Amino acid sequence: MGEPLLEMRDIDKRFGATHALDKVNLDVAPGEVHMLLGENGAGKSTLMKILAGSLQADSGKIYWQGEEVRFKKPQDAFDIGIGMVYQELALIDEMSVMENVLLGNLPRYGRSAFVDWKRAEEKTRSALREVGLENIDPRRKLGVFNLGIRQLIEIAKTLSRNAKLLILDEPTSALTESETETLFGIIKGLKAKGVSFIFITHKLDEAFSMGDRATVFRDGKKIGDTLKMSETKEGELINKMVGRSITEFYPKERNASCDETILTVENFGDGKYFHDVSFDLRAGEVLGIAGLVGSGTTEIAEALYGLYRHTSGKITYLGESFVPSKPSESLQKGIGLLTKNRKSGLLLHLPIYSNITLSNTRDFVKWKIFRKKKDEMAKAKYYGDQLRIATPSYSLKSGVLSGGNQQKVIISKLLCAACKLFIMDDPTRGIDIGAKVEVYKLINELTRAKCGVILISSEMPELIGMSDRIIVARDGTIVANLDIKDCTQEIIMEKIAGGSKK
Amino acid sequence: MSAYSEEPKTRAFAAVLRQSSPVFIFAGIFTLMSLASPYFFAWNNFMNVLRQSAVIGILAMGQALVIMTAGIDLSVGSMMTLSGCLIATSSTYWGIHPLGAVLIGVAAATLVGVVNGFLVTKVRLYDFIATLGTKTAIDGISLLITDGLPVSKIPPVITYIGGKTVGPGVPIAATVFIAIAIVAIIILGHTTFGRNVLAIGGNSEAARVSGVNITKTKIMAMAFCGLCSGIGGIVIVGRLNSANALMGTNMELNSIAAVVIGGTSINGGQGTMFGTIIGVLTMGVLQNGLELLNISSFWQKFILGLVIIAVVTLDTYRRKRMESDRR
Repeated sequence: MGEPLLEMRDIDKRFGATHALDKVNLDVAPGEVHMLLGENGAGKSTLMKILAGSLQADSGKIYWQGEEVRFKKPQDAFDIGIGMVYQELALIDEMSVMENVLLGNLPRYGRSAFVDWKRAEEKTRSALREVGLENIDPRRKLGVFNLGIRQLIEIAKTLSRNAKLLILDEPTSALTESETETLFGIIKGLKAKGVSFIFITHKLDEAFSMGDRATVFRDGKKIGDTLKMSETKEGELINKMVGRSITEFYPKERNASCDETILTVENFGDGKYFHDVSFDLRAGEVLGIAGLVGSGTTEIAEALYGLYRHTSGKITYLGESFVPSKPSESLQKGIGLLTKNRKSGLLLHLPIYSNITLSNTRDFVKWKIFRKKKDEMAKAKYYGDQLRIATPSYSLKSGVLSGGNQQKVIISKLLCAACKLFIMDDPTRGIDIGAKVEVYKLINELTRAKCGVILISSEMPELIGMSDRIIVARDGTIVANLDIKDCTQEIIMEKIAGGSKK
Repeated sequence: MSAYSEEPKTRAFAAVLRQSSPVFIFAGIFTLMSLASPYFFAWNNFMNVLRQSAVIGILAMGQALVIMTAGIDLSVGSMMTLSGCLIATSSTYWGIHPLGAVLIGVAAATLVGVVNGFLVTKVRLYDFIATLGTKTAIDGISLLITDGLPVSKIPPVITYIGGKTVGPGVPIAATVFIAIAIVAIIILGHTTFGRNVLAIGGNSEAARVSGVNITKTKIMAMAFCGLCSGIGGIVIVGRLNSANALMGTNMELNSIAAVVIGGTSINGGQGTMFGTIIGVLTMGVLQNGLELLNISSFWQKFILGLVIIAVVTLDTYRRKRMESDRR
């Protein structure tokens, strides 16, 4: 290999007491796709923000084509050819595609303050062409486009600044399969033109299909040497990422088989996103719901919890008729929802313990009005420790926790509210492998306590690995009810896509 | 790739209506007033509206730019007052040439705008608090300068700007407003600064990581707001033919109202100067029409309040519709 395009040497960064990056090294060759792997909180994103100039390292050096460079602001990194595509895309819905592509970089007439709109449009069109979006009108508002296209527009934005190295932070986490394929095709095309990529992902199959080399991070450190993907096995990679071998990825355990039905849903519908949905759930059972984005699964979950209105259907919960109307009532009855968006289930600015006791505050008041903080703290500790929330103190704001730990806080909250029925909408989305296993173990514990779990997931192996039964949603209704013994990915995919009905 | 949805033709009209609801509200009130009062629909009366709206319009141009950065400036009325009081006092009592006096007034107001921007970006105060602070402080300065008394005997050059007309009865005050409006339209639509204002208001983190200098842009927006207020000070002193420390009372709220009626989102990132002008004129026409109909100023206030609520309600509804369309 010739001279590296980029070298980062001994990069060190602390946030207060946390040692986010401990003398980390990284190098990227011209025209390579370099995968960055590791659990959440391992330091990958921090390192990349330093590389993109939006954070500053405490110490360490960055060399670009052999020369030392320093980035004080994002513009400095752009100027030498490093572009970052953030996970939460750095785009503005209300502005045109053109202004988004040229955000912070609009061409002017000479050195005047005036925008050269003609040149702007030309630049935008040529950047869009590079990512295969030549059919898009640069003057349209960004907000009308779907996520896959927005991601490509974000890439076009970095290309319009002649980026030689693109940093992609979990670019596929919100994309559909076909959008992902389009993205990968474009990455390969750009790679052939000599553009390098740093690609952060949690998905191992992506690492193998896209990566030339991979570097693994754990706890702010680089683990071992950078690996060549062609000479690496999956198990080796997982070992490096979590620091222990995951013998069983889906540790499903079911002890007591229980026949008591806790929930029956009949002909549930909202007149828009779903209709005629019927299923039941037994205590101690995990019912998986499979379905594509837009098949109505999220709406069904939200409607069951009373977060979203329904117009028809009959629900029996614990032997009584139940009409979901508002979340507070559902919670009181012991029905809890883990929303798809973690941030809408947590008050990030409040301490962890307040979040855990949030849905059950009436147990922690004296004379109906005074708060009993000590009791809250004790109870929060009780549940939090059960789930092994990794935090030095429960008084910390929940916003500082990693994604997996935030998910644990939400589950603790539902446990604290004495929930019997857990509706989980993509509970492992965007959390790392180690935390995923923790969530699976938690599901086991819930079933042991004879709680019922409805598990909605976009990841097929997870559904098959954790469910006792799987129902399949398509176009807003249930098209199949499968026992786990009969389930394979192929069968479910067939039902999801509707192949067998023809 | 054609995975985005084209808006169906049948809904194009509805889209226009939703996009430009301020214009329709203005047209509605305008028509209503034309029918209700025989004196309303007349050239001279239109010029009257312009004269009455000029000062608030000048302030609203600056306010709009600040609101588009997702900020707010509560000190516009006070900056205007400070400028006016400095102009009047320095030319009348301190023996400074009217032109110099105008420069002092406008420069002072602009400086206050820069201070606002500094407090918001460097000291990281909430703009609401920062501008409330500067507002209160410079209200005090205006009282100190004027000793709490009205200053009269304004130099003729300045009363000329405030009271005289050019051509077919067009008030000079209105031409000042129009000139500033044109400058504001150009700044917002055709300079990188203006586009950065909207970018910051739309998503400041996105703007930051894309290399937009947020500190500089916000300070410039607030400085522009101070500059507009300072110019507003010239016009109001000219019109009143006097200056006092209380002449800017409620102006900040009226300017915010005009911006909001003009369809600019109070959350920033969205809005146009044209819309703001429409907002100013809507308020002007409403006030003028009600005046002609002999409706008491107490009722005028009440009605204006209802209009603000109605407009924002409509706008919120419109936004929700647009979002659900996307979904």
